[in-house]
Amino acid sequence: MNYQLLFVLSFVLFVVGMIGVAMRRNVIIVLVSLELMLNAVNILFVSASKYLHTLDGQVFVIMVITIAAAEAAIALALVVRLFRTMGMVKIDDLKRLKW
Amino acid sequence: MELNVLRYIVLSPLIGFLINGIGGKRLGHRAVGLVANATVLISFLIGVYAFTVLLSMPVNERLLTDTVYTWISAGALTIDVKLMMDPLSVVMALVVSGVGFLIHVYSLGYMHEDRGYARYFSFLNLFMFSMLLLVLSSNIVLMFVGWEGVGLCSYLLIGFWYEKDSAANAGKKAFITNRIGDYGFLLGLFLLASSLASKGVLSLDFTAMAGHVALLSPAVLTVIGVLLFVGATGKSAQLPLYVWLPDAMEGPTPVSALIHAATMVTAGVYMIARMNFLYVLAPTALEVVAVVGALTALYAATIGLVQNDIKRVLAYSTISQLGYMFMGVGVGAFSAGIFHLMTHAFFKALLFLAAGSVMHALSGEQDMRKMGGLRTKIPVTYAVFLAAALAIAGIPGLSGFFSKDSILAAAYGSGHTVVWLLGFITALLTGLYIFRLMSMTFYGESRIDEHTAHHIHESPKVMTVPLIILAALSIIGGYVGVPRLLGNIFGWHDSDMFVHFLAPVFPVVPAHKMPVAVETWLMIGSIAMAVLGVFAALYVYVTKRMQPAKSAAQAVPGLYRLLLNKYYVDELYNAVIIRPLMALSRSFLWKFFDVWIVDGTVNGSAYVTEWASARLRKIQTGDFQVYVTIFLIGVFSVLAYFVLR
Amino acid sequence: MISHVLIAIISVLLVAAYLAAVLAGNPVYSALSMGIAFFLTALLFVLLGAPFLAAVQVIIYVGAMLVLFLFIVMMFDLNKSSLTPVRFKPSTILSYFLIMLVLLTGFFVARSVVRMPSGFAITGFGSARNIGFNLMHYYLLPFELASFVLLVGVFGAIAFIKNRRGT
Repeated sequence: MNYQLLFVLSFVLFVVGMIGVAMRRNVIIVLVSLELMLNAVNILFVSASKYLHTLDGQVFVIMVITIAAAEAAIALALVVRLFRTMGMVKIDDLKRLKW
Repeated sequence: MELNVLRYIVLSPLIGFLINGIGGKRLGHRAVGLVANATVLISFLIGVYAFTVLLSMPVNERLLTDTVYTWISAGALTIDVKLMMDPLSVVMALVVSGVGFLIHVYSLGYMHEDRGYARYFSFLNLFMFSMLLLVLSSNIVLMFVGWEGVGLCSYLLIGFWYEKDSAANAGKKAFITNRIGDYGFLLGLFLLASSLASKGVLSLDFTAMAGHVALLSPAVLTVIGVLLFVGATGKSAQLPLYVWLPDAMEGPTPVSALIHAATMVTAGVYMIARMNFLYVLAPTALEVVAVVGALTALYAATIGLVQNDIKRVLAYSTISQLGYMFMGVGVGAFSAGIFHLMTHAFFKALLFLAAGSVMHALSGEQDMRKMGGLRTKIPVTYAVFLAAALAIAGIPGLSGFFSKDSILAAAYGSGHTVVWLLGFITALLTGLYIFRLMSMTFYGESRIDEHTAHHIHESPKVMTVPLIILAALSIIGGYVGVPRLLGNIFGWHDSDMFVHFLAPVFPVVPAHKMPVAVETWLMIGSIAMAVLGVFAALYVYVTKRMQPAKSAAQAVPGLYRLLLNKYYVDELYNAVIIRPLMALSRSFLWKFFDVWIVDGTVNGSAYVTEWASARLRKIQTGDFQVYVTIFLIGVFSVLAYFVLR
Repeated sequence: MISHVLIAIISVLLVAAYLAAVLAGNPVYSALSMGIAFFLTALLFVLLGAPFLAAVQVIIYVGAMLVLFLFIVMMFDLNKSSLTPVRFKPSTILSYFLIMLVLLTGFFVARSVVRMPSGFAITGFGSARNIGFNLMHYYLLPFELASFVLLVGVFGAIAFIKNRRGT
């Protein structure tokens, strides 16, 4: 099996997600992109796990999913909070923290 | 021999200081007084115990030590916190703790009404700690700690009534003048340490130094001796650094008695006696000590003649008597100097405390022109004052006579005729000024205003009992050192026990072989001078009821004004040192250095930061996606570097 | 061989799904595209010998996270908060879910393609038992820490949502 292709796939997916995080203005879409980045890393872990014939990669995926779940919970809670207090979900409006 | 209780002599007052200093406000008067007095009494009792131990030892092995811990260990040099008790230390320790204890007791009554009762006693205990450390330390560095400690306490206690401007200023004056002296002391200490180290002697213990100091060249020793003596002139109020002591009378009277009469100011004398091994090798330095001492004795006595403040007369008298002590150690008669130190501690502490009792009776009046005729009104105070006055005047049979006479005899016998002459004249002046004080205070008519006169009362027992004990000491204290001449007359052999006791500490001074006749005439001469002074004063002030001040002011106005203004020394220092220093500080240090260099650096760095941040701020857009992008660029740059390398 | 072809096809679809999610103008479509990407990933996992992870992927990512995202998006009136007006076409939504259904069936297809022997999912390479053994033996501390992070996440989320004025 051509594992390099899978690694490249994972890298491409990661970059796509990264572009979403860096470029999109909608907070929800930014968070979606963030999840997709994590997912791209998961694909890399599983491919490598098969490539190396060790389970460590898959164990790490469990960890990543855990952190991703926690991250999603916090992030969405933040979005809810932001929406309630400022009435928006636009990244641009978050510049108030500037000096 | 190791004797580990020595440390408790020093520690006990420190514990008292900590208790009163930390918890004084909550303890209440009774407990504060109890703690302060008990700790000093404990020191005294341990001192007495150590004294008995010392006496039981062979004469030439009388040395007790107590190493507490190693304080400084730098390379080959180690300095221990180590206490030492030899005959010299034990005399000092007993005088300090004994007289100190009596003054503590007296303070119970004298300071009873004061708001800062606990503060007063904690400072007093701190002073006892420092002073005992000074006299018991076994090396010169530890001694310097005590030396500075007593200076600090002196400052704190002179400025005890800090709300009074004059007291606060007097405290500062004392501290700064002492610093000048201490500067000399430190230089001497450094020179001593470095020159000893260059000879391979890495110890500053007195005993170790005594054995090796002969390695140094006489010139170096002379410089060290003079520098150390500069420190002594500051601490012991000698010319030219005596100016702080008269002003120090702003402090509470028991403080004047304890610190500025009996103990601290004698530290300089003690130091020179302690360093005797160095001074005997530096005769020039010793000569300086003797001459400065003699000049100070005469100089201060003349000022004391015209002062009207009862405490100031005593202050100048103290300076004068300290001059005697330096005269004694300066002519090589170390034990005579220490003997006078001890008797002086008794009678001068008594004089101050009795003066305090007078002030107590007169609601704080210090001006002798507003006293008079107190003899019958406060008889106990009068009686003890008389005893002390006779003692200081050198009337035969009282302590001051023996000690003063042995100094004068030593001065004459060692060939210091000029020094002896100055001391001889001072003996007359001493009788004169002290009985001028007696006359103005206790004899003649009362010049007390009615309001104050109404309140005159004898001091309470807690004050008079220490006075009586000190009076007894002033009278009999001299009999431990009766000159051999007198001892022979009364068939009392080995009468000068004091000299014998101290003999192991001090170098063998070549015996002053004076014909008995000369010695007798010397003694008769000084007795005559003392009696003459006393009766002249009594005659002028009591019998004739003259106002010699007025007639003197008319006859020799220049001299009188010179004396009244204390030779204009304060004014001289003001013009020569303080004014230029102030001008320099104002024009250069403040207007230029502080404003431009110090403030300029601070403000400049603030300005540069502000300028830079105003520009750097622009990067901070607050847009987190820009940050993410920059961060990713960074990550990929690093990756690219590792991949493409 | 057929698994290789399938992996290639899934890879292409994954990139497409990612692009759709990232470039979508509408957060709802974005979230739904993410769901499709997760399904495709799950298929990939099966083909790569990780059946347990595939199941976890579907349960957690699709079952929990996607629902959470959609719920948040729907909870607020997006028209008020975003500059571009948000429109839902029911047909589009429906097609998204149809794609997911197809992929779910593909899950079983993929299982047969890799020809797992019976009981492989229980004792094989990527089975729950093996992963669990690894977690509990070699990764116990990270595992516990991860659970702790999750707990903190829960508290954090509650703390953020909680109305501080107590109304």
